[in-house]
Amino acid sequence: MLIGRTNTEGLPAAGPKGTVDRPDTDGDVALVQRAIARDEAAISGLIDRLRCVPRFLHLLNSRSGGVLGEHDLADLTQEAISLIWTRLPQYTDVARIETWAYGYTRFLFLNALRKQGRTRARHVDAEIDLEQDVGIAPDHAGSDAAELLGLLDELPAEEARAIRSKVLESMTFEEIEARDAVSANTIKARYYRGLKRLHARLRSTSWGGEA
Amino acid sequence: MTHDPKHEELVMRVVTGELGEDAPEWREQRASCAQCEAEVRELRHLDAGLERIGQEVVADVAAARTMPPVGEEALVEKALRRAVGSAPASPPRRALKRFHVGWFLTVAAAVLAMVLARAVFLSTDPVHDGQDELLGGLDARLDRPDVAADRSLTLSWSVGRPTNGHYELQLLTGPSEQGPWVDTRLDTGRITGLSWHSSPGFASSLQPFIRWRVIEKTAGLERLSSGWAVHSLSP
Repeated sequence: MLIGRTNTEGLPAAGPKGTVDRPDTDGDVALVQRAIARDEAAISGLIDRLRCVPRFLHLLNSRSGGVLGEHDLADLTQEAISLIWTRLPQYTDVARIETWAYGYTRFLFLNALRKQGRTRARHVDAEIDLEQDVGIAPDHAGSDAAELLGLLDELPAEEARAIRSKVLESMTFEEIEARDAVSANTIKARYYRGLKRLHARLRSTSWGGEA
Repeated sequence: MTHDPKHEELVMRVVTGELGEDAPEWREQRASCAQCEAEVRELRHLDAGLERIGQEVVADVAAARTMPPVGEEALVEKALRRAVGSAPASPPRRALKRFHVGWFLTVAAAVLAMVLARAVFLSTDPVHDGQDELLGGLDARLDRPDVAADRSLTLSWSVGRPTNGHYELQLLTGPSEQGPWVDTRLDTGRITGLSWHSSPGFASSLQPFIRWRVIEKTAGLERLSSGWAVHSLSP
């Protein structure tokens, strides 16, 4: 069974011009299901795919001014892997394993950053710029882009799928149409309804909705 | 003009980019319906924000693919195998159906016994931060610190297996067992034994409580840490 294309680093191969390939998420779902069922080859395959997690942490830490030390990053790596394993049954075919794991990794990283940020607020401020970009009030530093994407879990599955495909996989409505065999108009309607629901959800959690 | 549910279709076309904001029909509707105008503005703002998040996610995933190893990759396998062994993901439904009730009760009883045994262990032990201990990775038992007459501090621990590397310590200090904690930035260097001794007077520089853990760095530069232990420095 195809587990997914890998290069020598154990990560999916890059597409033309360094862009991200369209996900072989069917293979990823099969890999995850077999790993959950304790298939040894699948667990080894999953380990290869999750080697991106410590690299995510280093990227995020570098962007945040290197606030966390190597011990913290090592601990976070283990914590992230443990969390990802417990959430594995929730994995769906809408994104690659790496992209899916990124959300949890980033969530844990920002939690750790906030703890440090009590004394180093400026790094946290830089990191939450993204939250402000989507209209989250600055005084809600407990929220995060990763949490925002997590809110997608609360949307109807088809709407969340449309948003994830467009946002996380950079797919056009026409590409989603081809993949899901659903008309582009239907995909657009789902995307629109999902956005409206997400917007209402952001307002109801008092994160703000206006720039 | 008041807002009409029939406006939704045009709003959707604008929000999804099918129709440009300079399209005559939209300009007409926008001019006459403030609710539609506000909805498009806010949803496009949210859409743009999501797109930026998505671009960052895609960029980080792509960057992780090409960057050189960062040193913690080996921890992924250790952590995942530990998770597989101790905190299983939900098994498939087929497996659940086959799971015999008798076996379930047996396992449940065993787990309960382990939890009770651990509770007894912790009740006789110094304060522990259980969450970190579960996630730490190094099975170490941290002993109660010893403060000598010259105010030197001795920290010792025991582990289930010898290391092929060395240990380092992380030490925080605070006014109570709840903190707040201040990192002492202690540099213990490479510890090859199972204890560390400070210079005389070191304990006097600390607050009444310490929160510490042991970090194992193996020859392969893999790092595992024990859970945090909180101790009072009072006799």
